[in-house]
Amino acid sequence: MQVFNLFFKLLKSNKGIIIMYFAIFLTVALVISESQSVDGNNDQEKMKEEILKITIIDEDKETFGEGLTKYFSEGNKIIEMEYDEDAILDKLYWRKLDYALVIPKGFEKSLLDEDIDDMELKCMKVPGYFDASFFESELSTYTAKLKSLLQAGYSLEEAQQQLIDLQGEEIKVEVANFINENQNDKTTMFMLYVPYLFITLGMNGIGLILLTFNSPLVKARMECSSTTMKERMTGLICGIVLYGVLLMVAVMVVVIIRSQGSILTDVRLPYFLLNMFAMLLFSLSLGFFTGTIAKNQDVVSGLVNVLSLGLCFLGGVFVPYEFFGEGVLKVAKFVPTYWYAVTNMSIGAMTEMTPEFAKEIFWQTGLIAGYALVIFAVTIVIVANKRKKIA
Amino acid sequence: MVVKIENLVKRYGDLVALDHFNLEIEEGEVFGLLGPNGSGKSTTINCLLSLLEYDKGTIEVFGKEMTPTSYESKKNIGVIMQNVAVFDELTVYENIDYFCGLYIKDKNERKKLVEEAIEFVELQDYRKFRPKKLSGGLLRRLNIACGIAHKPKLIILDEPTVAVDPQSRNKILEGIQKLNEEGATVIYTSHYMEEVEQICTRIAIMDKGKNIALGTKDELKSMIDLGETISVEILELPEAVKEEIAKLPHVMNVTYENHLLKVKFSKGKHNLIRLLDVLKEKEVGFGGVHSELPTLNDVFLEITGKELRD
Repeated sequence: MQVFNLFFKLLKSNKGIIIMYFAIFLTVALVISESQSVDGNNDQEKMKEEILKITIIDEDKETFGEGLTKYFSEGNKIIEMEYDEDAILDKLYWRKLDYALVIPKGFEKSLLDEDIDDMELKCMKVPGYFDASFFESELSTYTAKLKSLLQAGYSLEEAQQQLIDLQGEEIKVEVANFINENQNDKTTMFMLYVPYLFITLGMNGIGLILLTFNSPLVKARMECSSTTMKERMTGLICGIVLYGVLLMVAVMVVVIIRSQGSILTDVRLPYFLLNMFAMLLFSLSLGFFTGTIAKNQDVVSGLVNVLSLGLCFLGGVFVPYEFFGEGVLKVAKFVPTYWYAVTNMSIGAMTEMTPEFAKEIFWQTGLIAGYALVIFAVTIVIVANKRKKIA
Repeated sequence: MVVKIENLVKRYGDLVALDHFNLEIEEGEVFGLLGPNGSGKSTTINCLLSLLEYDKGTIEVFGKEMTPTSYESKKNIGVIMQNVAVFDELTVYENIDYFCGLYIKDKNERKKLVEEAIEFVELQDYRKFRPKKLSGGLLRRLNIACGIAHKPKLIILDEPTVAVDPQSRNKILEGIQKLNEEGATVIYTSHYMEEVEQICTRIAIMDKGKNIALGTKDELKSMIDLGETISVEILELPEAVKEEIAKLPHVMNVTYENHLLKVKFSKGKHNLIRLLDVLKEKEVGFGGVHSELPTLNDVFLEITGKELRD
């Protein structure tokens, strides 16, 4: 009990740092999630089957462009805009656009001359982004079918009309299973930034307290006392657990206020909590590790900044992982924040819980918890070795 | 027997910090461990408290082997380290309460003990102060309060007066004697021989990890030949007179530096009269005359050939 009480007295003395990081988190999470989220007061309107946001820029200005636009306007949202590379990239970055397709001048002519290999449609998309890949696949199917119909003797207009007629039965339902209107909503985007809060406060809170606990003089005095190592460790771990619970509660209070209580009845809540809990375990372990290896406060501050920012950038918390190149993505997969971000976005897009989906969520959160376990085990070994040196 | 150390050996690589060190401390003693820096005093204390692993030997406290998990024995031990070991984030009261709480679980009992400890070290006016606001002397007193609040039967003080002003030092020494009067056995390490002479009932002199002499201060002083040192202020001392003084009975050593003649005599009678007679006879004018009995430094010097403070 003495150690448990001391934990919170020491935590109180670090309240300045804790409040500062919580304020940074709130500012970043609230402002950015507000600007990136797609929900709002007109949620009902978004219930329509507008799945992908596409722009088709027709530089050819022939029949093909009109037919293609008509075909893809079914089940997708067509955004009209002029060809401006910067404007397109900007919209792609902020998810206001999923795919930009440019029909080059002379494309129809080359298509009808069966010379399609010489001229290709131009595209701009977010690399690795599922929605874009899905559209690309649909486009490829469309052009393949169109070519077959043309070869079978259909005129271009007839072929395109034929594809529109067939369209409804083939595509729409499949898409709706994967993506819903909740993806990128405020709660999902807010939750995306939680690792930053947990890592900074986990490392700062626990790191600084352990640094005080592990100061050689005080530690020696405690070692001389009749309080057993087990009692001291129990007090310390109970303090860490309660601190973690308080962090989660603080985040949930903000989420509940922000969602005006609707999160409490949201089917996704248990999965958001599970993902958050796994990240909390990881952050607390990281704090335990930092406090054990750090020699002074400067080292703790350095580690907090490097690891919190590094893990959040590399894990796709601050920059969407769809923007990562292949190499970075490979590295990111070794980072627990990446799995948090992936899981968070999957939960955000969830419409109903299928066994496969649940399995995927449990596997990914389990992976994050696994990281926590490894760090905890390594720290315990370090603590044991240090104790052996003293004893 | 409160403490029994037998054949203790502790090595740091090639350096032998404790070389077959032996010690026995009885209940109620104020036992002094005296030795220059690096003689092995702190290593002995750290081994005794199981803070250091040692290579060979046995340590018993209250008749039981001392290990890192000897919590029953630890209940009755209070430790005051050389450096102040308190939490800067806690107040004076909270610090004493925390460390006392590591021994005493009952809140009411602890409250009483903490108040007694605060009173004992006279920190009543500072109970809400944080350590950073305390002077060096007050900080040392807080350090002591944290170590004794639980009323231990054995109190170990490792150089508690280093860098402490004379007033605080006296208070600390008086406090230690008071604790002893209340029944505690005290182990006191220091390289200040005056302190050890003042409060310790028995003293062990350490050098190079060995116990080179052990006994009461009188027993230790009787181990050496030196009887007294007589110092005489003389403006000018001819070499012939100095040689004549050296030939007097019981003279062990004669030095003349900075107008001060120092003559060391072995135990014997009429040393001062004989010395003054020579000076009068040779018509050597002199000022102040002082006679000093041997100190523990003289004991150390005679045994090891070097000063305690070297």
